[in-house]
Amino acid sequence: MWRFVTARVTGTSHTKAGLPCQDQFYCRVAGNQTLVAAVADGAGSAAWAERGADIAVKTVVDFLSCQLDDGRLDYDAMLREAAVEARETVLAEARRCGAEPRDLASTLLVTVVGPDGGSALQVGDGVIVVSDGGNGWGWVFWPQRGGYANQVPNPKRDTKKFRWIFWPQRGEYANTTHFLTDADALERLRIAPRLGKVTDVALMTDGLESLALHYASTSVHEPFFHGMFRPLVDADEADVYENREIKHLSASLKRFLSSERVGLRTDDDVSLILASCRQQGHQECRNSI
Amino acid sequence: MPDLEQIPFEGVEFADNPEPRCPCVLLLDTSYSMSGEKIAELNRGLERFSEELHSDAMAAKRVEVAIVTFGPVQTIQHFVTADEFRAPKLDADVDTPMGSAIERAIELVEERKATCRANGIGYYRPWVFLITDGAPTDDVSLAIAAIRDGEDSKSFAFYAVGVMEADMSCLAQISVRQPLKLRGLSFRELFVWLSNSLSSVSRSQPGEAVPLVNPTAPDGWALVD
Repeated sequence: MWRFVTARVTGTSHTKAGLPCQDQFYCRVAGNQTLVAAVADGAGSAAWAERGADIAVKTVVDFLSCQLDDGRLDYDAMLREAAVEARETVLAEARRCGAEPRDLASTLLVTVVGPDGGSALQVGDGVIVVSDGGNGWGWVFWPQRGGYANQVPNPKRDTKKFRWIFWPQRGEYANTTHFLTDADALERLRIAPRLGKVTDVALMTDGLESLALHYASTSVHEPFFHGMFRPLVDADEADVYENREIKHLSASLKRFLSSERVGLRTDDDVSLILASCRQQGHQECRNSI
Repeated sequence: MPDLEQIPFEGVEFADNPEPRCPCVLLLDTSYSMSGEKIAELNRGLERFSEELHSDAMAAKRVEVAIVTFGPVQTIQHFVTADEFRAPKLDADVDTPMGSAIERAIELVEERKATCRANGIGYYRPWVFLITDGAPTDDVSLAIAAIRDGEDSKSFAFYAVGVMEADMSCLAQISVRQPLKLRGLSFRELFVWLSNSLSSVSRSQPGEAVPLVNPTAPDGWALVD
């Protein structure tokens, strides 16, 4: 059974500039015990960025949930259809408001994970990190799967438990990226099929990237994820709501993301979804899915 | 059951990542015509620049400054982050080999970007900021072509500022962006603006337009020639 926590916090730079939090997220456990999660980071310069981000995450999660409830299992095709649907809905909203598509620009990160594995989709920056659980909290050998967007010829990664799916997609400069509303968004979107067994997944916007990733080695900073997932896995089943969210931990996560420790490292909006289908003890996660 | 008053995530460890860099090359005319009050004001302006950058904690870690003077063409300061930058004391020297100085500045920028890339460090679009009171005494055709290429491909942004008797029409041929004329010797105002502008760039997020204060506003440091 999946359980998840979510939080988003307005960056200090946004507060100073009088901007709202332009990140949006949405997470749900749909049919056949399948996790559907999305985050979107509205472009700082876009007039209605938070509206665009909101429409994007709600449209993809609702679309995917409907398809899953209908029993579909072709995640890759569903993800692509969901992105097309989200893009159309955002563009329609722009037309309705008499705005340019650019005014509702946002990134989009989505993942669907069911009992037999999952897939992910990404436009722009931010990162999705997954783990196959392995043996307790120890290291596992990560199988080679050539030819996917998530493969980088770095043998060191194979000893790690958490791995990223797409390295954040940027333009050349640190303040440029790609958006769902870009004319070429559907060509640029990246889909990672057949993620294999996934027991833990984290989706975050770029505000948290620098805390969670090693840029120099293009690898995941494992201690960050061990620390983040532990409270989620250790929480009592009694604390999990019907929708599978652990609300008191979501509140704790928000406090943590608002804390000075995080604030000193990033002044951008941050949002984070953490989901896990391990249980307490978490040795038998394969059985638990 | 975890204690709800504690933040359960507090113990996590962060990746220790270098900040993305915002490189800026100051390309400063130290020819003989700059001697006297002009170079003295330029030096005071540089001190102010250093103070301003130091006072902004994030800019101090992200803005990188290098200085090339001419002539002769000398790289008197290789790229350092603002927190390590100390204003140099410049002396006026001989001629104005502006063309080769520009070429040197562009080389520095490209090298810096390559170094950042090699180390996995993000960077913002670099700035080359030329300040002169004269006209080039060498061939500038290569420099002009390099600036055109660089601006077209967004490899860097090139700004030119003329001081007093500077040949503004010549600067207009060199720079794709309109050159600005310094109001009197308001170097300090110029460097406060430059520091603020670089700070804005260095904290800009993906997709965000960087708001720069118009230096030619009535209370700005520049005049439109």
